[in-house]
Amino acid sequence: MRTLFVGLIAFCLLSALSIVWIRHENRVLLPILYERYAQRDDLNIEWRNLLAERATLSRRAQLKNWASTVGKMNEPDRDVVLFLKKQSNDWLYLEHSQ
Amino acid sequence: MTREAYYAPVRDIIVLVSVFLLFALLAARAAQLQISDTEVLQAEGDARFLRNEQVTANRGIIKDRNGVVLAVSTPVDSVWAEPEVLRKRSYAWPMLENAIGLPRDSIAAKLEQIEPGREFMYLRRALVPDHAQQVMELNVPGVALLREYRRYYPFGSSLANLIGFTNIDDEGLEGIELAHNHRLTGQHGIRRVIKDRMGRVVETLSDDQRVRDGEDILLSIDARIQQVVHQALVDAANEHRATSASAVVVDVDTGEILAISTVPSFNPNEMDTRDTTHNYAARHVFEPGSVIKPFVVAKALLEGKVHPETIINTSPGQVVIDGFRIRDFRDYGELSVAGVLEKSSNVGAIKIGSQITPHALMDFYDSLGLNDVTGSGIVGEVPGSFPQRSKWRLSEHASLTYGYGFAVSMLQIARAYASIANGGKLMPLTILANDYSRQGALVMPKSIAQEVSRMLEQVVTPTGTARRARIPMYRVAGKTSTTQKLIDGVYQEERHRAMFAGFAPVSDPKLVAVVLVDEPSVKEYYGGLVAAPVFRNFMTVALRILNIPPDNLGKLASSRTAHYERSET
Repeated sequence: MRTLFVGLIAFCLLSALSIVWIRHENRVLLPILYERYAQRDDLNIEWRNLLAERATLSRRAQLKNWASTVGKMNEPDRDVVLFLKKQSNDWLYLEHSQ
Repeated sequence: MTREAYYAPVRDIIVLVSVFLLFALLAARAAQLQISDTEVLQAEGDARFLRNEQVTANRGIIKDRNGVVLAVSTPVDSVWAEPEVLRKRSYAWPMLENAIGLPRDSIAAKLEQIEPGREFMYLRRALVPDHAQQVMELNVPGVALLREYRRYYPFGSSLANLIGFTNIDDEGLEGIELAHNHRLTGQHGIRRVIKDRMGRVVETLSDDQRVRDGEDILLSIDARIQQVVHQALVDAANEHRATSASAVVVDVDTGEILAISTVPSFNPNEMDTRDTTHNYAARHVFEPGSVIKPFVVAKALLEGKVHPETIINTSPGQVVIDGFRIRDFRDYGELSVAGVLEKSSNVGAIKIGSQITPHALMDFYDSLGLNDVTGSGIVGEVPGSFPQRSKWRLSEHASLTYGYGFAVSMLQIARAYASIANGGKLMPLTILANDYSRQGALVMPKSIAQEVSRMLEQVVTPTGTARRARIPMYRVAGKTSTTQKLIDGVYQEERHRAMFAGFAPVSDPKLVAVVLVDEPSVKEYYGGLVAAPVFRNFMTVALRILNIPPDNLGKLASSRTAHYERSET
């Protein structure tokens, strides 16, 4: 009877202490969790902004402009275009006879 | 006399007991507060520090078939306030006035309007994050930021009529944003937290509602083709001073819509100037005119009424039915069936069509899906409009064969042309990528489809009406149409629709497209002059973008040595 009583008291104390400990742990970890949330949000924002930026930069008018001015690329004239046709393992060159 | 003489144990006991009683009283009161009257205090405490925090969900991204972003929500900060707190701090109002550009009077007015007990009111919505941060640096108690989202459309006006836009709460109002709003919208999370005096979260009580981000939506659109099509339409509308121009490009085999565009359009990124969408290609039906003729020919071939070699006499280039005079552009004399399409002879079409009963023709149009929606999933898509008759007058029968007296949409025409292009299979259209649930139906045998396709290729030859639709290195088939607009029951001599429907490359069709230029200038209004070049302009680029091999390289010197000789000279 006596040992049971002491045991219960000890258990009671132990559980009380563990609650205190866990709550403390909670308070310590919570700011870290919220910091991580904020980090995740920031990364998400950056990701979305980058997606939007990439789409904007890849607009056709933009690329075409860049290609012709910076890249100095132009569509080749038709009479200088060569066509390649694969026949068995060889490439066959085709060209306009006109 | 010593001190010990006055020792009285009774007093000790009295002191002890009274001290004990006092403590017992305190303990009892504490117990009462903590155990029996707990609710009152809990409520008082919670009201000061317990908060329901909203966790904002991200609206889904709309992407094209290649994953290019067409609409994305980027974060902005809205400034909000706790009305009760802000009301007591009128000294802070002028500071806010400067920071968020909200006049003092209107802050007062807003506070006035808010009902008591509310914990939340917006002060200013959708500020860019940097700007919003300045507001926070004022450190006004009761004022905080809420993360919200603003929709951004990288491709601006070229997709506005399809995608639509959202309102300030990021809810879809138009187009795809509206049609798929339930999928795009996530669910905001609600988190019950306890905050300390500084507004920091010290304890999370529960995640009452988990935040769930909206789904991303993949459209069947190819943004590259879409832009080319849109630009071609803008150019055409300017050149011909048209009231509008529209086009749709569809994958012949899958029925996926690769591009769909209408000008005039608007910039969906500017909230003030944006308009309701005008997705002409899906939302309008009109009399199709001559683009319907290939189907009359197909039906006649199907029933064996004509053969490809049948000669039809279209002299004298006009015919009078029920008192209506129907003319050709000029007297074409004797034409083959293909010639009727090539010259777009109304008289020829009537002669071919008169051999089919109007009911059979109507049934055929029905089976081509001209009478119902295409299943594209575009908001506001309308079905075709056909007259319901038990008896057909001759003139009504005739009008069915040259495309008057009933109305269809561009999407339906595109779909019906795709069935010619792919060997007779009518596919439901779709605006979504990876939409494999659809099944096609065979509407004509492959041989007939190929025969009609061969005839349509003749339309796009130097002698046909659609010669301006020719694309270098590719075989193209198609049909033009020029119709007078019916306004208040009168056909307008000077207001036309110029149209072209066609596909390429003919040897293995991949893309079908329909172009419509509405009310081009009076000088040039024929489909072959106005709409066919638009088709050529965007198709040329689209075929290259999709890497579709050319099937019309003309006379080619084909040998390895030819190449070597060339490099030696």
